[in-house]
Order: sequence, then structure tokens, then C-alpha cells
Amino acid sequence: MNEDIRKPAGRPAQDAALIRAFQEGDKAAFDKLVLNHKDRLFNLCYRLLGDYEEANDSAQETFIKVYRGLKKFRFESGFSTWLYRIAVNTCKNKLKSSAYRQKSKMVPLDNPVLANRSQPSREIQDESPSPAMELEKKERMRVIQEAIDALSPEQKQVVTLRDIEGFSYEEVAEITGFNLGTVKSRIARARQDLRKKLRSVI
Amino acid sequence: MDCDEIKESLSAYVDDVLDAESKAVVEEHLSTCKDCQQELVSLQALVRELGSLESVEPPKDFLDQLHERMEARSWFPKILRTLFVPFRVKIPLEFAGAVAVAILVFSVLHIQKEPLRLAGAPEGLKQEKAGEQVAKEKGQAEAPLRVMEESVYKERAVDSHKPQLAYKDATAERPPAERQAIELALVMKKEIPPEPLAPEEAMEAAPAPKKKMRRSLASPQAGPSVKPEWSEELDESLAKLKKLIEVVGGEVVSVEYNEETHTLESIWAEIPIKQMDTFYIKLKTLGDLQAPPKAVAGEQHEVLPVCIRLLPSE
Repeated sequence: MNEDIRKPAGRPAQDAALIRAFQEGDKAAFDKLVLNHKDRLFNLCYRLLGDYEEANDSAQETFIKVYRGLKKFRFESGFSTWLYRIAVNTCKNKLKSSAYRQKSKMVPLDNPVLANRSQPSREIQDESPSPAMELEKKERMRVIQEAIDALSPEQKQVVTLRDIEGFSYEEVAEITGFNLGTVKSRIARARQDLRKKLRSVI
Repeated sequence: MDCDEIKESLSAYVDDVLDAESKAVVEEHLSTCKDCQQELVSLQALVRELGSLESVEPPKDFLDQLHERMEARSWFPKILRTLFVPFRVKIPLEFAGAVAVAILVFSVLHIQKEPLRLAGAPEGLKQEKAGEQVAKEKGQAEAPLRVMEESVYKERAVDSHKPQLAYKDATAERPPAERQAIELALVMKKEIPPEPLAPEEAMEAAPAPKKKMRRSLASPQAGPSVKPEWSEELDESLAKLKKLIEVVGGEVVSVEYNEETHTLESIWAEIPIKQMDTFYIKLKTLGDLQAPPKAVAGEQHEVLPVCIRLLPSE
């Protein structure tokens, strides 16, 4: 059975309080919302786009759209769902743009800042893995990201939201706008595709 | 079910979203079919791998970058649009702008006089201010651009007093001078005890701050009458007015301070037309309101520029 490795950073009560504060004039509440959600949101954008700079751009644009719409936010959906829906659409539009299609989507080996941030060239600290392991980890990530990039946009969305970000099927349906049945079959297909591509590493 | 069908259901099985019946069928099949067992193991490995991919972190200064982007966004494109509008459109616009300025100037001068009579405030000072404004506004042909610049300059000049206005809302639409602003005068009540709201309070329990405000308005402070302190009261009035404006869905555009007495003189804001009535009612809770007759033209979804002049109580 699958465990929920990554629960959505859902603190919906806190989100709601911050939003209400913002709607009553406390602009600093928006900053707190950003700080609470930016890491996860950025990671999503990165997985969908495969490029650090583009992910940063999309994540920022997403928060700007949130800022513009936050005053009128009516809590018809959870904030998280709304936020990620905007992010997915922003990334989708970026992918569709012709400028982007021409760009190489290879993930550079020395690129992203990983969560534990150790570089092969640095001094070995107490708990950091050996340089060889580090390199292997990065290479693995690169290969996986390549395989994800090769999926169709819809498959990429559902598998990223489900398996990387940890959203439930219902949440994936809400965020993407696909119905539940479609979400299920797309996830199944995406996983199949990934397994074929990643036989060497997994 | 045969193996192919089982394999198709494995994904849902792994996520535990199969109905009880299907789940039982799959489990039974799995207990005897090595092939499908392999599939399951492989699928679980993939899901585990994906789930444990390390997060890619955003840049450390993400929030700062965001602020910069928002600030760059708020009025720069408007300037661009105003500057690069094609000539044919631009010249009649400028002419219309000049006319609008002339009308604005007249109405500013005209309406200025009424509140002055009522309040008995130092007339010389107020007229001087109006004179300054007139001189500034007359001298320029491109009214929309300039008045907006002015209000931004004023904002910047008094930045230390109101850090929150640094975020110019990206959706702020027309600059005030494109349409005639409604001039209001407000004579603040004396005995309003100030109670500014800390952001933490606002965050903890959203409804509570509102209640606090009402309570303090309803129960004026007992005890010997204290000589009203102008600066404090009016500075706190700014916070109240801002709240009022924002509660009706409006926005503060700029604020005028009298440099000599360090008091708040007026607030420019944009109020949604359909909230004007509510807004007037709310203003009246703060003091005596002098407002022009309410013939408000315009479509329901638009906003009106409003100027609230604050007058000291006698």
C-alpha cells in the first residue's frame, strides 16, 4: 500500500486566518502566506517545467495572481487547491508558448539546489553523503526528471500532483479540472510510461 | 479478471482507491499470480521513488523578488501605455485632459470654501495649499499622468508614516484626475479613543478586531475631559479611515499631511460606486460628514475617486 509520503502542507485553518486578515487590510498576511507555500509551490513548478529559472518565474507569477485575486477569495475551494490550480495553469501556458517549446528541457547536472544542498566539491560534513553518492543522486534525479518531461502535459500534471506533491485523487481532480475517473486512468498510464523509461534506475 | 485487467487496476490498488469488491478480487489474484506480484512491486518502487525525490528549493530571496516584481508591475505599464498611445489618440486625449484639469481646479477651489466656512480652521493655510495644488495642476497638459505621479510622490514623501501603502495594488485602475473626484469633508468626533489594531491581533481571530472597534466607539471614555491632542487623534483616524475604505472594497491612493502641524489633512481614495452609500454611512460613524449631493454617474462596477478632507473638531 502506498503511504502518503508527502502530505499537502495543509494548514487550512492558518491559511484561512491569514486570508481574512489580508482581506481586512493586513498586507503582511500575504507575505506569510507566500512563505508558508512557496517551497512546495516552487517544487511543483520545477517538476512541471524542468527548468529552475522558468519555475521561479512561474512561481512568482502565480503569487502575483494570488495577490490580485485574494481580496475577492470566497473560500469556495480550499486556498491550497486554488493556489495550485493557478500554478498548474501558469505552467501549462508557459509550456504551450512557442518560445518555451524551443528551449532545451535538459536538467543541468549541477543545477538545482537540493534540499540538503551539498555539492560534490565541498568539504564533507558530518552527515552529508559521500561525493559519489551525491553525484549518483543528482544523476538519478536528472533521469527521472527527463522521463517526467517526456510525458504528455496532462499525464505530467496528474502524476506530479499525486506522486511528487502528495495530493489526494480528489484534490488532483479539483486542481486540474479533470474528473476523478480521468485522473485515475491518467495516473495509471503515466506510471506505466515512467516505469518503462526508468527500468534502468528503478 | 485476467492479468491484463488486474494490471490496469494495480495503480488504483496501490493508492487504495478501489471499491471493496474490486480490491478483494485483485488481492485474490495477487495471492497466486507471480507475474502480477512483480508488477505490483515494481509499481510500488516507482511511486516510492517519485515520492522521495528531493525537493528543489526556491531562491532564498524569493519573497524579495516577488515584492520587486509586484512593485515594478503596479504603475510602470500604466506609464508606458500613457506615453506610447498613438498620436491620433494622444492629442485629443491631452486636450480632454487639459479640460478635465481645468474643471478639477475649479471644483477644488469651489468646494474648498465650504468646509473652510464650517470648520473655522486657519483659512490662510488651507487656501495656500489649494493655491499650490492649482499651480501644480495648471502647469501641466498631461493631466492623467501627472496627477498620478503627484499622488505617488506624495505617497513616497510620507512613506515613513504608512509603510503599508508601499504595495500599490496591481489592480488599481484609473488615476483620480481622469474623472472628477467627489470631495467630502469630515469633522472627526472628539471623544473617539484611539485603538490601533496590531497585525497579530487581526490574524489570530479575524472577527474580533471589528468588535473591539465598535465597543470602543460605543463607550466613550469616562473621567475628566482631556484636551484633545490633534496629532495623535488624527493619525489614528488615518488607520480607521483606511480600514473603512478597505472594508468597502476601496483603496487609499494618497494622503496629504500638513508638514507644519503634522496632521492629516486629506485622504484620496477610490471607492466602488455601489459601495458609496455604505461608505457614507460608515464615515458618519466617525464624525460629521459634509458631502455633495449624491448624483453619482457611472456604471455599477466602476470605482469613484473620492477626496476626504479632515477637519479638526472645534
